[in-house]
Amino acid sequence: MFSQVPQVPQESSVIFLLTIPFFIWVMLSFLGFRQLLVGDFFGTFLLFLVLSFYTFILISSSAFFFVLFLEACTFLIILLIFWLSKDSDKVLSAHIIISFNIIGSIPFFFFFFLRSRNLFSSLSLQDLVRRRVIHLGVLTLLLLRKLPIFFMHFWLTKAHVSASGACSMVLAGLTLKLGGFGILKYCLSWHPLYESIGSFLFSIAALGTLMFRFLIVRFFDFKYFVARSSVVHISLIFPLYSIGSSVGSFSCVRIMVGHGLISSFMFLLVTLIYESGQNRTFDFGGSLGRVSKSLSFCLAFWFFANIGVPPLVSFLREAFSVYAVFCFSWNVLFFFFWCILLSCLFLMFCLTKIFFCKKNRAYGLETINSLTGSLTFFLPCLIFLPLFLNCSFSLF
Amino acid sequence: MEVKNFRAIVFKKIFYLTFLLFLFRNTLIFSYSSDLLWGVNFWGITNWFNSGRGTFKLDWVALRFLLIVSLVTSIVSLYREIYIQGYQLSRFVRTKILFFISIILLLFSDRPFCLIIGWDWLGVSSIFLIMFYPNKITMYNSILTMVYNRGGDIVLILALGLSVFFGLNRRVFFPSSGLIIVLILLLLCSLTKRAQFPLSSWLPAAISAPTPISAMVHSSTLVTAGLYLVSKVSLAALDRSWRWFLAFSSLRFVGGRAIALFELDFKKIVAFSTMRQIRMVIVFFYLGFLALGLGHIVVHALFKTLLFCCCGFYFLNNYSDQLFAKISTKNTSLLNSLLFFRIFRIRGLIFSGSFFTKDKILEALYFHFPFYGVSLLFWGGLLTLLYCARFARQTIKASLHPLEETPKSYKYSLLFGLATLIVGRIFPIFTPTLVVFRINNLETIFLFSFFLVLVSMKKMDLKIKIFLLSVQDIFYMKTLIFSRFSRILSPIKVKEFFHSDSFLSPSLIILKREKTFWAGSFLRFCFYLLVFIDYSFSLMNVALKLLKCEDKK
Repeated sequence: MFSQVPQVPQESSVIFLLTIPFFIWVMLSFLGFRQLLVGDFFGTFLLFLVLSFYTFILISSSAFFFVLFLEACTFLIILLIFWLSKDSDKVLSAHIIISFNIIGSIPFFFFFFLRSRNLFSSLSLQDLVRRRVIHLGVLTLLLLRKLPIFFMHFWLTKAHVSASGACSMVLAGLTLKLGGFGILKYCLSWHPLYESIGSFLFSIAALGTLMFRFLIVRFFDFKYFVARSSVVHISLIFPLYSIGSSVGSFSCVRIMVGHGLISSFMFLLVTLIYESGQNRTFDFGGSLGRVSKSLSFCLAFWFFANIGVPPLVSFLREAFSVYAVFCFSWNVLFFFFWCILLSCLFLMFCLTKIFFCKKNRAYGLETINSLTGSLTFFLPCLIFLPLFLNCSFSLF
Repeated sequence: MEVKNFRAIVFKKIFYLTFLLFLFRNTLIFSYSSDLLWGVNFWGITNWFNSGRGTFKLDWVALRFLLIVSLVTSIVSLYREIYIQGYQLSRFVRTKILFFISIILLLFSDRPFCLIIGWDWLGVSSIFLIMFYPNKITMYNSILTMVYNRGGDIVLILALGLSVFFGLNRRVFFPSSGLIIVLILLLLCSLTKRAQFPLSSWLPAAISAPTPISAMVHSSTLVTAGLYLVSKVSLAALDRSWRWFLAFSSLRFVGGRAIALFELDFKKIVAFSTMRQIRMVIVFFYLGFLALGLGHIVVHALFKTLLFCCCGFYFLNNYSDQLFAKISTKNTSLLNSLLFFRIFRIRGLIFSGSFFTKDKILEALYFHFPFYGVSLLFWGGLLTLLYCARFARQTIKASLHPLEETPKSYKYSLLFGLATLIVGRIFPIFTPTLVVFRINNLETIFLFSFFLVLVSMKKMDLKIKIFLLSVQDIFYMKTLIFSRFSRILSPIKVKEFFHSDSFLSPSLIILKREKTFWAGSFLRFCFYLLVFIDYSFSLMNVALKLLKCEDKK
């Protein structure tokens, strides 16, 4: 059962994805292990465990270990929420996470371990998936729970809202990537199953993005906003992979890495604001630009990174997803144009919240000036690194 | 500020300015294609850049753009020291540097990736500069600018994706098939940055940036980025099939002026003027006159910088009120004369820089669109006349609410207006139309122009000094045209030049063939030296005069 042919299909993408835990580790060790983010030794240990599980999954060739640690990571996240969170309804959110994940897990274990036990012992996971459509469908369902597309994302926003800072950094940066990595490694991009549902997936992604852009103006929880933007980006991965071209899977990796680097840092900023100001509302009252210039610069920079300004990884994400969509359908491009334009409009909405209001509600944000001042020069350098690590530069 | 310290600062700045003027203006005058590249390649840089390995590329178009950009930026950064003192200074300077770096990335890009970086960061840094003074108007304006610029970026990404889709080359913008669609997308993209008719509403909105930044945006950076993209892709190949587009969008000739006649904000009027000039450069490009269009960009950049500098001084003198009708002109006589020279230049009168370009475009438009183009130019010219009359009336008008005492930095800051005036006062672009006439005894005229400098060192009114300087510049131009080109060009060649753009082609080769190359370069060096001395003298004169006024008070 454990003896399988070592198959690591995209070594470069593995190395590329391994930059994320390095980035998060540096960030946490730089300022995270203070009392701001992680409470005690056990919390730190759990975080280290998630990081090591992630690294192990990426390196190992066994499909069994992949599934095992995938479930274990969800368990660890729930533990972290229980251990570190200060939210009042964390029990409810833990229930929601478990129930949503079980909907994906139970059919998978039923089909792979009970019904076709003999097959699984003799064949590799990829051969199994290639033979029967039901296996592919069930595996896809399992992975799509971890990597949410629209209408499967409810557990993710709930988890982010009730999780603590370090926990949601790890959740956004690492755990969501495992589903994407599984899709890249085990699913078959050329399969007729995906061909039949490809346009449906794209339309769901585009319509959901438009819907989110209009809905988000009503919500003022900053963390909720970052979680939603991460859902918007992540929900593109599976439709792009299902196109079947190499550019699609190429752009998938860019989406994952860009999202892992950017959203984890944005969660860090949210946590800094929350811990020092005891307030997570998005309405800073314009005082942020005056109270802490370094923090407002950081926020502006990472907002721009989020919409994909060129030299960063997120630009590669936008560009390559556009190339991949060219291969699929030109009608979808129309929706994508409006999505990107609306994201820019929303960015300006955020910037007005930071820079433009007149009322001065200075709430304890002076304490983090010293922290973010050193961040501004240290961390933007890191986002350039993956660009030069990978040879995507040579394409241009 | 103490007088002694103030004087020391002024002299330092003047030395810096003269050096810059000497450097840039003369390179701009002698900027033939191979000449520029030869100068750079002296250190072997060009070979390294253009070897095809790097992401950057140097060519003469980019170099000429670079010269304009760096000249305007240096003038603006000196002007900034008066205009913005203290208020969020470091943020302003950093964003301005980002702005400058991104335009340079755009100019030197060979790969589309590099081009997109410059293109996108131009938009981003510009909105940060627009929201420099945080209030409601700048908020709306920055949102408008960001949405338009980002739309252009997305179209650029789509164009890149299409050219990848149709077949990847090293130069990605020219795919093997489907060229027309890519070119249409690039055209749409360049519309957003150069603010052409359907997508132009952000340019009047962008004037809520500080005035030095408006000078940069309108003269050299943001608007010319769109022009640079057009010149890079060379849409001139499409002019036959795109006549309808040209006709449609050249309605701005009339429209921009008509709006500017009824506008109340001073800076918005200038913004509408920019739209019209940019439109004219685009017509040049469509008709195939690349070098002439670039020359017009230089002229336009210089007088636009001057105009914005004048604007800033008026606002300083007028409680920061931007309403055109309320501007008081009591204590600003020198400024009024500067504005008069600017009107002289925008009208395209003879011996001004824009005369040559406008003459050429009239000729070409008459050749291509016999009825439509000429009637359009007629109405556009008429409206320009009305517009200039409005400006001229403003210079004479009695002030409503004059300031009791002029700001102390006013006189000092006038220097920068003077600098732009002297650089761009009359910009010689060598048209063959004047080579037909021949004049003897050129050297006497040349010497006479230097004699004028000595005359201007005496005690005299400032207006007269400026007039003398401009006269002297006319002599420069004449000597340059008649002494060098009358020998080189034969009458047969002159006939060819009417129908081609090649009159800016290398003179260097001809000199080499005649074996007088080194002698020519020595003469040129001497000429540079004389011009440098002349500039420093004239600027020092004006500065001394200003400082004496300061001391008397």
